[in-house]
Order: sequence, then structure tokens, then C-alpha cells
Amino acid sequence: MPMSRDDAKVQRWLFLGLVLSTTAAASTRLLDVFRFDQISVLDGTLLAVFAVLFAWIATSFWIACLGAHSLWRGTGQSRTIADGVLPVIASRSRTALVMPIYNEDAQHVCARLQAMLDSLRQAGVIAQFDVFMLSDSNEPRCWAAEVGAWRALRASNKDTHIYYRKRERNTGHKSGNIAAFCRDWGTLYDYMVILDADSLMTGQALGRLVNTMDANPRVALVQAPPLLVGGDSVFARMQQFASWVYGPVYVAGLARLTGEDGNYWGHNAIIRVKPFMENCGLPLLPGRPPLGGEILSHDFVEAALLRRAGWEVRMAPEIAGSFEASPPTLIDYLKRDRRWCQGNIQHVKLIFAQGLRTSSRLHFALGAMSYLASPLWLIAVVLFCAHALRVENATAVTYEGRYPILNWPLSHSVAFISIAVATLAMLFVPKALSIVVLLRNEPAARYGGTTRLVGGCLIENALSVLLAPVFMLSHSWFVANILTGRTTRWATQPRGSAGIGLRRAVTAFAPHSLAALIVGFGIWRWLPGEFWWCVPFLLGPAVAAALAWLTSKPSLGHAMRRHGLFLVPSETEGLAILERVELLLRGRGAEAGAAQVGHKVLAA
Amino acid sequence: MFSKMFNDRLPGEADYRELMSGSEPATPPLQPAPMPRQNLAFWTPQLVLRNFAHTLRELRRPAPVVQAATISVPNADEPR
Repeated sequence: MPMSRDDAKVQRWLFLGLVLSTTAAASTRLLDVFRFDQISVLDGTLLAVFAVLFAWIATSFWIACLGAHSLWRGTGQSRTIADGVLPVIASRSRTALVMPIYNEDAQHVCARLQAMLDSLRQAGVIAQFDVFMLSDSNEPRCWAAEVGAWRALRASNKDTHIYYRKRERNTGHKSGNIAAFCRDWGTLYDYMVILDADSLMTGQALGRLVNTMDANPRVALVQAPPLLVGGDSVFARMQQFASWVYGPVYVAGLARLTGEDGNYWGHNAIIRVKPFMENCGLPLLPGRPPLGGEILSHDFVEAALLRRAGWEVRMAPEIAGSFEASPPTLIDYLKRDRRWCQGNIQHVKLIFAQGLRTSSRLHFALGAMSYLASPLWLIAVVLFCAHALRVENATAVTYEGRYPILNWPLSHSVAFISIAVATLAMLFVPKALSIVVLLRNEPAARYGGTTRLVGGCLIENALSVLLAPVFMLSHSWFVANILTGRTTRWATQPRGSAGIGLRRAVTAFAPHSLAALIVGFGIWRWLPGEFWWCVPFLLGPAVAAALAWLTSKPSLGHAMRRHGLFLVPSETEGLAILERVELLLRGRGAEAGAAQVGHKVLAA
Repeated sequence: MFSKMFNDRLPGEADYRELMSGSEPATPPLQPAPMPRQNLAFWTPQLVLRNFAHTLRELRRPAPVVQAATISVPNADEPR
């Protein structure tokens, strides 16, 4: 049963109270340490940075706790790939499946569309849907392949309309592409489902999204949070394992907390077309790029504009059958993060836009903090080192005239350890909770058994600990670049990989390793007592190239799968729609032939 | 052929249409409709200060006195 508005309000105040009180408890512990001596400017700055960062991790922690509570009580359904949980009712509404593409592999795109169409046909709702391939590609070989693949797709799906439109100028990038669709054909449809080139949604999921919209006329957007599937490399499999094991708890918490103030993640969501057209023409931000100009990350903004107009935006984790793919390698992941970082930092301006709801401002702030947290962590580490250096160099005795005054540097190890333990608890307890909830709600066999599940979690955590400082350094670099006015270009995301070469990995991560070695030497030389504390933070960046190289290997990913590590239900039980995609791609049947037709037409 | 195409016109301008020519239309007939660009005004420190000053002025103003109005209603038409 949906929560009443008053209950939701109480829950939000309770949540805010929990975040603030947790932050206050940790910050006052640190303040106690600093207050013992005199509080310097350095201490004050460190305390402020620490409070912001702790509030940030406390937010994630309490969202996860809320989600774990929901899943434990069964108020938020656990994700399952078992289709047919609910019968999908035929609808009179017309829905467009919108697939914006930009220099993508046409065969991959069309294989996914074909699998979705087959699934819609199986669910008996294909007649409600039309498909639009909206191309912004500017590479001739790409759009030639797109046309060929589209023709083949249309030829093998006569029972529905499959359209192809290519824009001559890709103004506004993806959001401009969707806006152009709305202007040209939006009035023909009640709803549109926005897909990404790697999106995969079952017919059941699509049908349920339509039914949800039909039943809730005040809802303008429903986001079906996607799970990651189809990863080959170690990195992609690790990401998909985390999304299946830890993801549901966070998503359930977020959905419960946000209620009608939910968010939009840019794809795998259904949108009511009329209010979208009336309210979501994106504004230009004041100032020059990268912080001004065209809005890059359009999704959060569109959700905020819909909320401003009084429409509800919902997240629906209970709708199973929504999937996407992970970037295959660490380098690809960081490239995507570079774009997202710019988009999210641009949102800081929107926090101060008039007329938006507080919840939308919070979504913007949380999105921006995902990236701004990295430079803040870096600053905190530097300040902690400076603090330790000051304490280390403090003299035991000072003199006032001839009178000695004892100035023993006191050890605050216990206080610091308690703060470190609290910080680690904020980071790791949600993961532990996720496993407990998962083991209660689902058979462990879906993840290869309890031992392999826990083993996978331990490996995932070890890799996360190594990768976290790498992300911190990279994100800090991105933020510095953006704040100094360096913009990024719109790029295609790699969807599959044969792994990256060692030379490429070394080139990409040499700065990280160099920074780790210099800092490590500095600590060993001037703060030898703290060296071993710092090793876990330095190890990851020092071996980043090797990590990136090894985790990019599909062969290693396959070996892990054979040994039952990082298994997810889409692998243990099979996922029909994904298997269909793989079959289509293996056969390279209709699409490959059709792409050649396209090339022949060009060559003629 | 591709290099020629790139040299003298925008990528994909005319050739795309050649490729698309066929018996069936690639898209439904156009149904143009507006999607207006939204306007956003932003809070600036000056605006915040101006609003704050305005609120203070409003608060200092004496509260409007509300007097109950007395309206006499003739009851001549009521049954006795």
C-alpha cells in the first residue's frame, strides 16, 4: 500500500534527523581531539571537510538501512527475473519505444530491439508499441549499418511499426534528439519508453510500466531501475554482481524515501509525453560551457521540471525485467564518469534555480556530491597528513623565559580509530545488510551458493578498496578540469571489449602510480608511524595499471564464472531475453546481412 | 566514396536520403507540435538579500486589522 503524504513527510524528517545526528556524533568526536590542543585553522578546515564527507556517507548508509528494512518486511519487492509475476493487461494507450543512437554498433542495437520485440510479442502487448530508432550518428559507416539493420528489423517484425529517423545536425545531443522526436511525432503517443543503446527490457516490464501509467494519471514518469547484465570482463562482472547484490537495497531505500519526488536516470523509464512536451524543453544555463550553456545530464533536470509542474515522478524497483550493460573496463568506466561528472557539476547551478522543489534540489546536490566527494576526500587526506606532521614535530618542552613548560604530544589513537571504525561502518554495513536481506529473501543458489556469494562479496570489497583511491584521484582530476573550463565532448560508450593492452593501461594510470609512490615515500620519510595506515590507500593507485589490465580481461572473467565467482541470477538461472540477444549476435543473421545491403546501396 | 562524401557536404546529408528511399516510409507523417524551452530564474546573493529585506519590511508593517462586518439581513419575507 502506498504511503500517505504525512507518513512520507515524517519519514523524511526522521531520515534527516538520523543523517544529521550521525554526522554530529562523528564530528564532535573529532572536535574533542582537536579541542584538547588549540583548534587551529587547519583543524577547523579539516573538521568542516570531514563533516561534509561524513554527512555524505551517512546519507547513503541510512538510505540503505531504509531499503533493507523495506525488503526485510517485504514492502519493497526483491528483484527477480522470473517473468509473469503479474499478468500484464492490454492497454489502449499508444507507446513509443524510443532508442536514441549515436555511432553505436547497429547490430548490437537491433539485436536488443529484436529481443525486446520478441518478448513484447510473448507478453501479448506488441500491438501497443511502435519502435523509433533515432539516429544522431555522424559516421557514414555507422548510419549505413543502421539503415541496413533497421530494414532487416522491419522485415522480420511485420506486426509492428519500426521507424528510423536520422537527424542531420545533432543539436542538444541525446536530449535534443528526444525533443526532436517529441516535436515531430510526440502527439501520436500517450507514453514513450526511453532506451539506451545497451538497454534491455522484457515485454512484461514494458507492459507493467504502461499499466502503471494508465492506473496513475498524476504520474508523469516511472523509472524502472536497471540491473547490469551480460558482462564478460572481470570489471564488468564485478559491477554487475554489485548491482544485483547491493543495488536492490539502495534502490528500495531511495524509492521509499523519495516517493512522488523520485528521479529519472535517463533510460529504462516510461514518460507521459504530453506533460513532458509542455514542461521539459530544457533551458540554457547562464554562462559558458562547461558549467553553463546546454544541459548535459538532462535526466535529473527533466524530473525536476516535471515535479515543478506538479506531476509525480516515481521509481519502481518492483518492476523486474529492466537491464543494461556495464562499461567493460576501468578506463571505459572512467571515460563515462568524465561526462557524467561534468553533467552533475553543472547541476550545482540548478540547486539555486527558483521554483524547483526541495527534493529536486537534493537530487542535484547528491548527484554533484558523487563527484565532488573525491576532491574533498583528497583534501581530507592531505589535511590529516598535515595534522599528523604537526603533532609528530611538536616539541616536548617549550620555555617561557627560563621556565620549562611541558608540551607532551598526546596520542589520540583511540579517538582516531573510533572515527575510522565509524567511517568504515558507514561504508561496509550497508553491504553486509544487503547480503543478509538477500539470503533471507532469495535462495543463495541463485548466486552460486552462500559460500560463493560471500566469497564474491569479499573479492568485490577487496577490489573496491583498491579501486576507491583510483576513482578519488581520477574524479579529482575531472573536477579540477571542469572547474578550469575544460569541456568534454559527446562520445559513444564502448559496449564490449576484448580487454585493454598493458601499454594502454600503463599510459592511462602512470600519473596515479607516480602520485602514490611520491606520497608513499613522503609518508615513509616524514611520518613513519603512519605509513602502514596509509598502505591500503596507496596500494590501489600504485598498481592501478595492472588492476585495469587484469580486470579488463574477458578470459579472466570467464574463468571466474567457471569457478562460480561473481555469479548473478541472469547467469545461474538464465535470462531469456539476454540469451536471445546473444543468439542473434552469435548468428549475426538478419542484421549482418542487412548491414551489407546498406553498404552495397552506398557503393552502387 | 566516403571521403568524397565528407569533403563536399555535411556527413549524412543527402546520402542518408538515398539510402532511405524505399517503398515504405521510414517515419510516420510529421505531426509538428511545440516543445517550448523552459525558463529558469536563479537565486543570486543580491536577489536573496532583496527578498530578505522585503520580508523584513513586511514583518515590520503593522498587521492589518480585520473588523467583523455586520450585515443586516431583512427577514420580512420569512414566514411568521
